[in-house]
Amino acid sequence: MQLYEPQPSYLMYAFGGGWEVMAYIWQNVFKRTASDANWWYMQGNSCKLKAQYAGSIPVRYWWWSAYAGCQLAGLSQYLTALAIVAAFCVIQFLILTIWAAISGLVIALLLGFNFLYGNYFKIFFRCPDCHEQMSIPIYVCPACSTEHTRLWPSVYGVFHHRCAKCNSKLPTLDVLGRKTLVQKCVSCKRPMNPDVGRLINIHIPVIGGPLTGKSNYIFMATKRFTEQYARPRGFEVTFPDKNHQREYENNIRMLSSGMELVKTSNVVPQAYNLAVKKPREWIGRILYIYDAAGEAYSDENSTLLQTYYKYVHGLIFVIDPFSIELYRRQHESEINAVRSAVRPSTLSVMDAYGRMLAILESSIGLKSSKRLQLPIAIVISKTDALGLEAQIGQIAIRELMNRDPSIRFEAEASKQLIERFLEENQLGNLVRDLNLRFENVGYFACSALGRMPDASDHRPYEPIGVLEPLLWLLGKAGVVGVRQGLTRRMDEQDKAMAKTKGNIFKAVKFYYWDSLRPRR
Amino acid sequence: MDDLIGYLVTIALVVAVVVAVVIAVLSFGGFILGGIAAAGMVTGAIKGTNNFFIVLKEAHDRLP
Repeated sequence: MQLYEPQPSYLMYAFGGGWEVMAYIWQNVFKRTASDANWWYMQGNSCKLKAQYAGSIPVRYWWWSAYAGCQLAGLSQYLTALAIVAAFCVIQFLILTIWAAISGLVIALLLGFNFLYGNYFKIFFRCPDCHEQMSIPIYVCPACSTEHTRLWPSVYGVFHHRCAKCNSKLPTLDVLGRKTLVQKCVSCKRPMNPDVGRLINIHIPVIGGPLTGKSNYIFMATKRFTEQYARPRGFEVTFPDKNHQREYENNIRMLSSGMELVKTSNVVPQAYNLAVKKPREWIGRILYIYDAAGEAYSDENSTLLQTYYKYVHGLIFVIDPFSIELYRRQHESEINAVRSAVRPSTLSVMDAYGRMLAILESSIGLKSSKRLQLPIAIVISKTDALGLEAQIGQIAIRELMNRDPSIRFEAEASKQLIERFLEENQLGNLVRDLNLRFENVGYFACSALGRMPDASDHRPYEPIGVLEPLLWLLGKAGVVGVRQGLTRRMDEQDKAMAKTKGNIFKAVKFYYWDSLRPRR
Repeated sequence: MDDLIGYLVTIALVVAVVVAVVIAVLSFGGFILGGIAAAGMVTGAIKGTNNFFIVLKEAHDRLP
């Protein structure tokens, strides 16, 4: 972090102009004094001439006195000027020194506060396009488009910098209006939306091989989150980037017309930003959702380009059930019948998982001896096909919870079902490895489209189970209070159950003892 | 004796006159010197202050 980097701005008076004024006065006042003093010296020389040619001694003496007087008068011009300049320089020096010291202190306090505030709340400037983290972005002068790389309290100004090109005053703090200026990434120079660097960063990559349905999942989950979760709870959900909003609206329009999204082509994805603010929350969150093309996990070189992994707060790992070898072999004829609709992913689950681990190892130093705190949601997609919904989806979850009342949460039931599904399909090693490496693993099943794509069917797609993985992850990242909601719901269920226990003693025993007993 | 006193008084008077004239001549020279020097100081103070403010204004005008 550099405190003082040359900027296209004018230095503060205390650090630049004030000292230049002192130097200019020192250099120029005596030039003017010299011309005044010379006038006296010329008068003196004339007196001297007259003294040399005067007849009588007194007259000669008087001319010599006049000559001496003129010399003294000339000298006094310099002495007076020297006294004035010296007094000015001493006062100016004191003023500038005190001014610079106070400004330096205020600058240090403001920079220190900004640094601590950013680090405490985990607010960072991270480019959604090239994923570079920067201490401060480039701010663009609104009047002349000059780029200012260090628009913060500095020797160029504590609260404002003055653009050297157009003389505009540019605020150095967000509270003074800096956030209204266009900000650009220092690395790729692309404009960044105004919420980058102002809200708490939450980074979530959606991982999976090609054609696993990641993009469909992201947009449908966003829609469900906005409409079904955030809006009823009074959350503010906005797209800080107008391009992202346009892209979201276009994609939702396509999905609402029964059309599938175009396959993602970016191997290094642009993060898709969503700002989320809870009611009465001071600082909101900015979600960076990364949707890399499945090809990003097809080879090692592409995998290593996923540099944003060093920031991640949670992972969504999408598994296409039709890319599971055993499942594919067992259901070959059924899959072949709907192959064009389900479009099985070409990358094996373990290959995608292995590459994801390789990135985590290189970016955050994954250790085999220590489990990662990072939550990972394992999402089995395309459950609308081949009766998977009844096997691992919402239907199966409800059935299992009805069969086994000790399972209180849907996530718990989903975990049991999907773990069993993966183990039955020779992916037990994946389940074991996940439990070995990750502290928080959630298992979910979803269908982003809700039905199989059909070019002749223009009914809107109705997703199933897309919200749960995202909510679980956002709950783990502290964006939403999922745990509090579940606890409240469970408590209400316990109260209702207690009331059915017959007498008050049994009800109290159930509520305060039986319901609190650990289950598994 | 009276003549002697008269001579002495005359000499004293002449000396006094000569000394007074010399002192007057010297004083006039000192007055000229002092007057010119004082005038120089006064004009120096006025012009110096004036020059200082002119240069100070120039210096600030040069600043962006």
